[in-house]
Amino acid sequence: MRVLALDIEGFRGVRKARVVFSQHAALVGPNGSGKSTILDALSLTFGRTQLVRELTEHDFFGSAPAEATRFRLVATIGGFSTEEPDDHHEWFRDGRGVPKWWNAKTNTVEPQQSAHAATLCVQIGLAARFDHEDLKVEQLRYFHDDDDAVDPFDEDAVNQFPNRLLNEIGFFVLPVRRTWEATVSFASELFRRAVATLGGIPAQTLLAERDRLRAPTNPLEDDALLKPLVERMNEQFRQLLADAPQLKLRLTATDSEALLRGLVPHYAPSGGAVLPASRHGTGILSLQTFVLLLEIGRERRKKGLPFILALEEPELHVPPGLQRKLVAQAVAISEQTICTSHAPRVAAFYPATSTLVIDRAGGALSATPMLAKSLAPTATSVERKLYLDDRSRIVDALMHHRVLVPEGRGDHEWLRLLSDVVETGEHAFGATPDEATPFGAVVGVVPTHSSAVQETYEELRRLHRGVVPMVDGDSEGQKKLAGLLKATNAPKTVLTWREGWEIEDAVMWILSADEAAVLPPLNERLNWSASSVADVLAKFKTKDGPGRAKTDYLAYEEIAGVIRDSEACRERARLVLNAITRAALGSHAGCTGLVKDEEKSTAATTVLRIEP
Amino acid sequence: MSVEFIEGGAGTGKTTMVVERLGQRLAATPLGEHQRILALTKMHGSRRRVRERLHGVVGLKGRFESVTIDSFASRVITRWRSLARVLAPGDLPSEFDARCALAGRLLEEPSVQKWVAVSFPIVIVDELQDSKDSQLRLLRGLAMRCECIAAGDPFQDLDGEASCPSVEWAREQGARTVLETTHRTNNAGLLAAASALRSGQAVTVSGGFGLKGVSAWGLGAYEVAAKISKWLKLGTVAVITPVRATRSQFVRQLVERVRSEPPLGQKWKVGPFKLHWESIPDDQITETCREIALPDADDAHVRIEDLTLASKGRSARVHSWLSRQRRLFGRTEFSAAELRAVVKEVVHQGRVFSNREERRLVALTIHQAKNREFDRVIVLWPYEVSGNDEHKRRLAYNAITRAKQEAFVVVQGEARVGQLPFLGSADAAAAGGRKHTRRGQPS
Repeated sequence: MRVLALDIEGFRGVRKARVVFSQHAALVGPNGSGKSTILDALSLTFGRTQLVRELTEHDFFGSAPAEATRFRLVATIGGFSTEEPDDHHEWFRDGRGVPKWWNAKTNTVEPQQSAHAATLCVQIGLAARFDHEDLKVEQLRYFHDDDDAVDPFDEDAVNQFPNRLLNEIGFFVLPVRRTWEATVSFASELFRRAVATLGGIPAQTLLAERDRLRAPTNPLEDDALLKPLVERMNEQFRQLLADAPQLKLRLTATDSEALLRGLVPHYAPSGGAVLPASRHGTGILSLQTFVLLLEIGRERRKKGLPFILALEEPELHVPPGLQRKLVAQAVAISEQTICTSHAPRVAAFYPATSTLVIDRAGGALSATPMLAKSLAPTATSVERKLYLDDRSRIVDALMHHRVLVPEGRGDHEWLRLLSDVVETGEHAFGATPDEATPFGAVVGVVPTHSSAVQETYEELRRLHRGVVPMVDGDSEGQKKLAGLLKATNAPKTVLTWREGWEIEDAVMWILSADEAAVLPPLNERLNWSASSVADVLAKFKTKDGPGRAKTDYLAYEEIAGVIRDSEACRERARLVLNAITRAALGSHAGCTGLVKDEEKSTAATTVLRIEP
Repeated sequence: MSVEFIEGGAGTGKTTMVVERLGQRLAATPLGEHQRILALTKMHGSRRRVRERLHGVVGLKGRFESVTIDSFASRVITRWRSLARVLAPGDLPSEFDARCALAGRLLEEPSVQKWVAVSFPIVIVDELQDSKDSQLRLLRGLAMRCECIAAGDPFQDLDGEASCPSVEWAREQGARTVLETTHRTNNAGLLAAASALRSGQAVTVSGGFGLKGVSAWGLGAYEVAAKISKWLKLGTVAVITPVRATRSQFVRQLVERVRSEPPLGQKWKVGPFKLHWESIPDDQITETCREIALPDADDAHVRIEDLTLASKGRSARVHSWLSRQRRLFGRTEFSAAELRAVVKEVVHQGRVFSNREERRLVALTIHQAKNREFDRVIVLWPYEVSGNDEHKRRLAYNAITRAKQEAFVVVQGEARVGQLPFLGSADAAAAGGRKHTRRGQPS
């Protein structure tokens, strides 16, 4: 079985949303875009409620639910072993669900089977209301028959979904809040499920252990140090009570319950002492949950039962080398995986068609597949770069609130380095309080391929509302600007370097703040003999021949290092980045180094020139 | 498709036979874990009767659902409303026939048929003659994949013409059992009268069947009171009339007299009798609306505190509906029209769930008495009986066959005893009467 779609209405920050899942899906997007809301919605719908905090008013959109306010989550489940409802009596009958049909072309649920709507599905709803009398959230899981405005809490309005059927779906979650040492113990729901799936409690062993604890070989009360005390106490008892009992000291309460409760996982590193889990680093503990889940999954699949695994930031506490391997295992075992991640490398494990870019504006959440269908052999090189070769970098950029599309890879590298220079290190702290949000925190930069700003903009525009193109100040750049302004879906903002400038000119302007001081270390680091910043610039402007530095990314790093060491240069770099950030955020008014090009701006587009 | 049809006159044990057949089928193929028997009837009266019968079947407790066709139709439409909107665009119907028609349309879809059949492999239909047109369409759909056992008698169709389409349909399906022997009564006189009415012959006053023409309601009251006083000691008595009291002065005044004090003058010390009309939903709705002090104007705004709400009965159910509305939707103000609809629903629900307590003595219409039985029956036959001769025969047949022991017909107008449907001989009128009748007539 698998989740085909999820509809969210009025839940947390989402007024309305529809998420369509591929068989394996990665959810990427900026912080606060609603990735966790989607996973929590799935967990609630499928009864993995121990992973979701107790529901309160804050789980309703706007946090102030009226009596009639509801939130509603509707999951569409498909992937039945056959497409004939009559083969699945537990799901489709009076008192249970009504068969629906999934149209994979339009991603819609239809009431009638047809050539296009050929996948049998069922819809499970979860509705909640806030009771103004007992101040509690009441929730109800039900068979969702239709999208009309029927209130599930109205008498006899719906057929309740039996909890027993939840197990049939087999939805499991690797939560971001991983409970460390409790994972492998009978206090953990997950562990109990794993044990149940694999064949029950090891009763015989536990009973033997219990008996051993009841009759220890070396009882504590016989220990030479304790014996006098124990004997004196026994003597006292004898004087006070007829038929006085004897004191015995036993580890645990010597019943099975105490043994089950007392189970504590230990790990034995090679050559080291056996240590309880809580004494280990977070790495192994984080893996515990994952390994257990995979075990449950393997066992369920062996029995022909479905297994759907939602992974919430699987990269957490896991070394980078292991992250993709982990996801690969989950994908191999599960019928479906749904993964949120802040690690571009993890997200990029999923093909572009399975990567959902989550974006939220106000209460409207959208989940757009990075690519609607696999690239055709006729795809352009820009498309190939975006969705195949550079996918991880694109995903990285898309995780920011604003996505900057400059003319080339050079811009990408320079801006990354400059942002490192300005925003890390001692000097980064104590920045002036009126300064805008740091560039690196809000702006993601795309390594645009072959200067295709417009094509890249148009591709990414589908996925993200905050895409801002940035063109060079040369005539080529201004041609691109003209094209962007004419585009049917013209950008709200376009950035342009000042006349004649490209990124290298900006870098040289930064260097020239402290020309005398930066030249010697620069020449030393790069083994150059430049006598002025203009000389350096010439190297970057030369596209061919000896001494060209246009794509020498190592040279970039050295220059960035030189800028880092000069306060005057750092100040200029900060100014440039700040101008870009403010422009991208649309708060350009009164920003130093930013000029609105009134002549070129149109009704739809504001053209902003970086002119430090 | 499988339909077994059990046909027979009133009291021939059709329902008993249905239950017997059901038992045989279940013995051969027991119900699966989640399967149940679906029992459908048009009216709540017969629904309750079927429910009681199925309750008595060993092993069937909790394994059947006895509902009216209308309620079943609503359920199918509600669950399948997405599909319903595709098949029949527009708003979902609220009116009875249209609902059944839409459910019938849905049940033409194999997917819907299978969905029902999974839960209900066997469907029982009682009083099949009452279900026609849109309901027949629904039954046809059900019969495509469910095994149907139906029982009916076209002569007990009170709204019908010469032939009954649902009975015709069931007969065509092949497996048909005709029951000839009446089990409800073994009274030869009663049996003969029923048989005569059925075949359009003259009835004969004999044994448990009596017939009496009276010239005025006062005389009728005397006859009725006399019978009640004698019969009430022996068992239940129903006073059955083809027309409501509101439409017949004869019926109204006769019943009024029987229960008023002194009933027949001091000379004959009988009565008064607590002869109450069995309520009909409309009366209960009006009564409840008055009880809670609901304004008459439909567009009047009503708040909870404007109403007089008691803590029990229908008023309490209206109250709990209002509380729920406040709790679930924060609503505190309603239109009178909306609340009237709620009262209607409360009354309706009350009828669905209550096992109407059977009074020992009750007055009711033939339609209300349908499918029920009483020890003794007094039939009032006023001038206002309408319809053609066939219809009148059906009415009279339905009325007297409610009796297990005895039936007595009081005809308004002495001469009408000899007319259709009774065709009684002139002396029949005299045979059932008493010499001093006229003296008993109150002024």
